[in-house]
Amino acid sequence: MRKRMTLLSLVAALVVIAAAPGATSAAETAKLHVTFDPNHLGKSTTVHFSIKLGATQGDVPSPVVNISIALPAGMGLGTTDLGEETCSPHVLLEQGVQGCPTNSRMGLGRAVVGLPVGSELVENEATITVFMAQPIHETTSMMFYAATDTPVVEEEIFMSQLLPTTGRFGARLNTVLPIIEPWPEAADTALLRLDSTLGPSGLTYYTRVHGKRVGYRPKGMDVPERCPRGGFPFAATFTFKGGATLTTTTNVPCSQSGKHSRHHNPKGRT
Amino acid sequence: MNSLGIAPRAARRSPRPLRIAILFATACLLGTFVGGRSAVSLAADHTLGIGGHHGSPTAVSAARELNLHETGRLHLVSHHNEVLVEQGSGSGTLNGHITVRLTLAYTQAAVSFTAYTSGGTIVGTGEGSTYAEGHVAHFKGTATITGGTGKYAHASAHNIKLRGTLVKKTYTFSVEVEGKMRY
Repeated sequence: MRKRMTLLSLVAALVVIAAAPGATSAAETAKLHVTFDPNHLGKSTTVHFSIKLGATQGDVPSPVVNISIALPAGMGLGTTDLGEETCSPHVLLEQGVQGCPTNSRMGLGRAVVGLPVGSELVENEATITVFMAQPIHETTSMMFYAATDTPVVEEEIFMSQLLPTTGRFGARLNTVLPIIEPWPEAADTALLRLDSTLGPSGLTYYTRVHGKRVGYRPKGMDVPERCPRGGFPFAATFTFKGGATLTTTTNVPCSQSGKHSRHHNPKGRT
Repeated sequence: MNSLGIAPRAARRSPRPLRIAILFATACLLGTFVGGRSAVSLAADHTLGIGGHHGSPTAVSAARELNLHETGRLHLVSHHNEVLVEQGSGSGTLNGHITVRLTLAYTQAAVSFTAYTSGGTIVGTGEGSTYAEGHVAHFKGTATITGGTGKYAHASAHNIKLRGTLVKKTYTFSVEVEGKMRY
């Protein structure tokens, strides 16, 4: 029997928990790694995110309830093909991935969660598919759909919104994660690792040309034409159950190939 | 003519330039009562107004006001990363050709535009928020008209409402404009 997330849990997941950037959690550790594939200035790319969470004391970090990833300026979603169609949580829960239009997929990945059982840590891996959702309060919205077959068939949806931000970042992708309690009185499941893409890598969209169904690779976000000193900045702020927050940053290095930005040519050659 | 050389009262007439001045001053006084602050504000097509609180003829300024209700449908001319240049036709209060430069970021958008009408050009800038709904990007914001040429050389406006949609596959841009412009 498929375990399904209740509508109440989904509604609760839509509540954005305010984070306090800069505050650190004494018990949790976090690492963020981001790459562009390909990494060419001014070209379409797929953004690969990799998050690892750990604990300074014990094996399992507290469950993370919110992840906010700040994205570099200049990589807007407005001119991409990604998420040409939309899907709804209802369709996903009823029919799974196959129920959503192929052209609503925006990324792929996997997640590893840990569940303390006695003195052991049981790890479970889930596949991740990112879908374009209907806007929420006039904001671009996405769904991270996590599904696992073992030990039980389980699926969860994490709602994500693209929100404005300030400073050297262009926007932040704010994702709410519900606390997962596998069974009553069990410890909370904790996210240990999340690898996900946002872009065309591994995706095929379809269109009709002269009545025939033709597959094509959608266009992703463009790597900005100018690379800031130090690379393209990303930051992730994690909010844990209990309210503690943790922020970690990383940069995607400037490409050494393809077009060169002004920052790579201090003498002004183009 | 009496002994002093003064014509009898009945025969006395004021000279022509003085009569014209009297007529003009009378028109000034009538104009301020009719138009209130300025006869210009009566209608958008009104020509010269008579200013001055005291009815005295002063320098004339053609301060017209126009309620803008425009609809534009534009096609892509060029696309460079986040920047789209679009062109098309506009219809409504003012008909003509429009060129728009649209910069689409994640959640914000900026626009600069030039409208080419029979009376001259109108230029301005705007900004607002944007979000994606599948294959369509929505834009909502406000614009400021900063000037123009010809009849609209002194055009100005603030808080002009903008609403638009961009079809991401074809880059067809539709926009609605609403607000008051002075020129």
